[in-house]
Amino acid sequence: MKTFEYDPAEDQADLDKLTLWTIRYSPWVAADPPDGIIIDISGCAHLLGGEELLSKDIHIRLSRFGFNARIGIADTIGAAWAMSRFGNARTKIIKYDKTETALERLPIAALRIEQKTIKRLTRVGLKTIGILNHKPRAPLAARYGKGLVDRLDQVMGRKPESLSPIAEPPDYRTHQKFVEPILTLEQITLSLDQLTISMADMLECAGLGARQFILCLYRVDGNVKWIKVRTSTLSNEASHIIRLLTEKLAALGESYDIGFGIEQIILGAYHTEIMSHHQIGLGGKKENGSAREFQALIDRYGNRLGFNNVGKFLPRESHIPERSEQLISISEKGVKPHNWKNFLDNLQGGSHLGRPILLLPIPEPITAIAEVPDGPPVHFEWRRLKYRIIRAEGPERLAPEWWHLMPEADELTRDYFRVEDTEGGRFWLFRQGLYEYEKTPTWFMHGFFA
Amino acid sequence: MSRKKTMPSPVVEKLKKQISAIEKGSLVEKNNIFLSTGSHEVDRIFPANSIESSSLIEVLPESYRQRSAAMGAALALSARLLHQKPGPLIWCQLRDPERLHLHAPGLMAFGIDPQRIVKLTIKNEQDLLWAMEEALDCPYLCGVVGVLWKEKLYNFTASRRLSLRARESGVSALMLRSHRANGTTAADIRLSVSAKISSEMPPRKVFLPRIGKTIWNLELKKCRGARSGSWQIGWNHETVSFDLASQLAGRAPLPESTASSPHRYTG
Repeated sequence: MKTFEYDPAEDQADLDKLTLWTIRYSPWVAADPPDGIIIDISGCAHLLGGEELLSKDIHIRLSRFGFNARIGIADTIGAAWAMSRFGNARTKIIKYDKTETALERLPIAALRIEQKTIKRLTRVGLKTIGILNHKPRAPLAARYGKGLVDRLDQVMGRKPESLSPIAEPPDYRTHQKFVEPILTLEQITLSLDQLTISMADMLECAGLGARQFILCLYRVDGNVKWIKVRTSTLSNEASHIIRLLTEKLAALGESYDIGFGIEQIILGAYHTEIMSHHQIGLGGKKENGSAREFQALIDRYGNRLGFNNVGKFLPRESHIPERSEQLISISEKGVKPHNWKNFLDNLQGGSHLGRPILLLPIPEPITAIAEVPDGPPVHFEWRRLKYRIIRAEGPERLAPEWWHLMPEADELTRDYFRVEDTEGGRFWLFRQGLYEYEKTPTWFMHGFFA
Repeated sequence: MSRKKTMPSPVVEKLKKQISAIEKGSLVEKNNIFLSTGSHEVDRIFPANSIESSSLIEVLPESYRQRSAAMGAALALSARLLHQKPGPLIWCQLRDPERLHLHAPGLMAFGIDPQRIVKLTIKNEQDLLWAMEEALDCPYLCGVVGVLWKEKLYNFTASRRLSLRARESGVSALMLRSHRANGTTAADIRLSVSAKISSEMPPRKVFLPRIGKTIWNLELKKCRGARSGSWQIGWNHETVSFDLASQLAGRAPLPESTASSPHRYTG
């Protein structure tokens, strides 16, 4: 026998892991610390051939992991909890109308109540649930608190009790079990096709599309790998989903340790919404075909590079150049159409080439020799290269946005110059601060013209 | 052993024909659009008096300091693309330590509507090449631009893949490379860019005169069916078109018709 120090945090982590593993039996599961897992098997038992076979399956698999489990199956969470802990067999199944009779003989500790209440009840001889159940409720509540009555009602199914699942359950899910554990990711790709097609059919029939799909790979040793893909628009197109998932699987590639094989895969669809059907044109070709192709491309970019890295430009109401634009994720919803031309006209009036094509997100300080007080620089040094200026335009003065009340002290007036150096390079420089107020205004490099 | 002497098999003959057809690009002619630079004089630099839309164009700065000029020239080409073809343009850029980022208001001023640009920020070169190749597979797009100041994986094979994809879909590919880039690639057109100082002679009395028009010195380093040479080409943001900044100084003009060009613009 080996002994280990008791580590509650580690136990909890392991319990959570095991709870995630039980999602293979039902999407609706929750950990019940310190030593329980609650699984809502409504509508799931038949997948394994009924409740007996389901519990047998759990026993076999858990014993392989080295756990000795006790299972209670009942109508209410409370009754199942009681049966698993106080039942007289490893597996105890209560039929739907037998809850009351089955619980009658159990001690009151099976009610999930405080130790203190148990002691007090035992002292007056209320030792089993059956006795307690037949007592008048008002005095019980008055003497032992409402908690006791609530627990009693929950066990008997007179009061609802819900469980908050450990992971958000999918709206739709399909699964496939393998007789022999699968040892290569390629084989998974094959069965993934079928799984996705049946998922797509389900969604299509319901007239729905989903925004997220999660593929769970169940390893023989209880490890569960989640592979998530997102789509920027609603999707129920099997070929598209398969492609996204296959790419993710391929990216997983060598970094994933397949161990002794994968015995089950589950595909879940999340965030489903009603999807309008695409009209098929008279020519038989789907309309917007290529636009949808573009959406599919964006999805694949998003899933490989991250949706935050697939951006589009939006104008922002500000005169400060680095704040006058924003790059937002292309999957962002509810973006109003905008008119860049009007925005630009507002921003810089008549002169149309006053803004550079390239900008440094953060202006970089340069050393410059300039004419005092407000001339353009004649020489400057940026990133250890020297530039001599032969032409210049400016200044364009941008005052700080006083209405923002920025706490930063460096919010000073900027005087922008467009300059050209001896090699034809065109830069956008600015002087921060004025010679009249600051001792030494600083110069910055900010942008580049073509 | 007597096989050596037999006539070439019809299968081989057929394959040879196919290969030459593929090399000419005639198999996929249907997707090809001929792009104009906006100026007839500049168009004449290229074979068939236009740039084929389904080509891979490499733009290189002449030196380190000319990178913003090269970016400018690539953006000008993109602006022409967006002007003549529908669909969005994908801009692929690495999470660059140099941090030369597109500035949307400036792009608008330059002649590009920022709404039509999808900007990808990518971690490594491998993903960038993947993203470009995927984009070239989507005929809905107008074009794709990759910025690759440091390259390790971009070689003949990688560029050949891009070029073939572009040929199939008709989507244009632009690749910005470093001035130090060397090695053979399968690009259809390679341009080396340097900015030109404003052309007028500075008036003596002014200390720092105003900046002139945007003019680049474009050197055509590679283009099948065209002569290499360099031209001074300006950018007109009002008409969104290139123009020849000065007369071809002392250089022989291109022959009027190039033999292998079935398409010609008139007027």
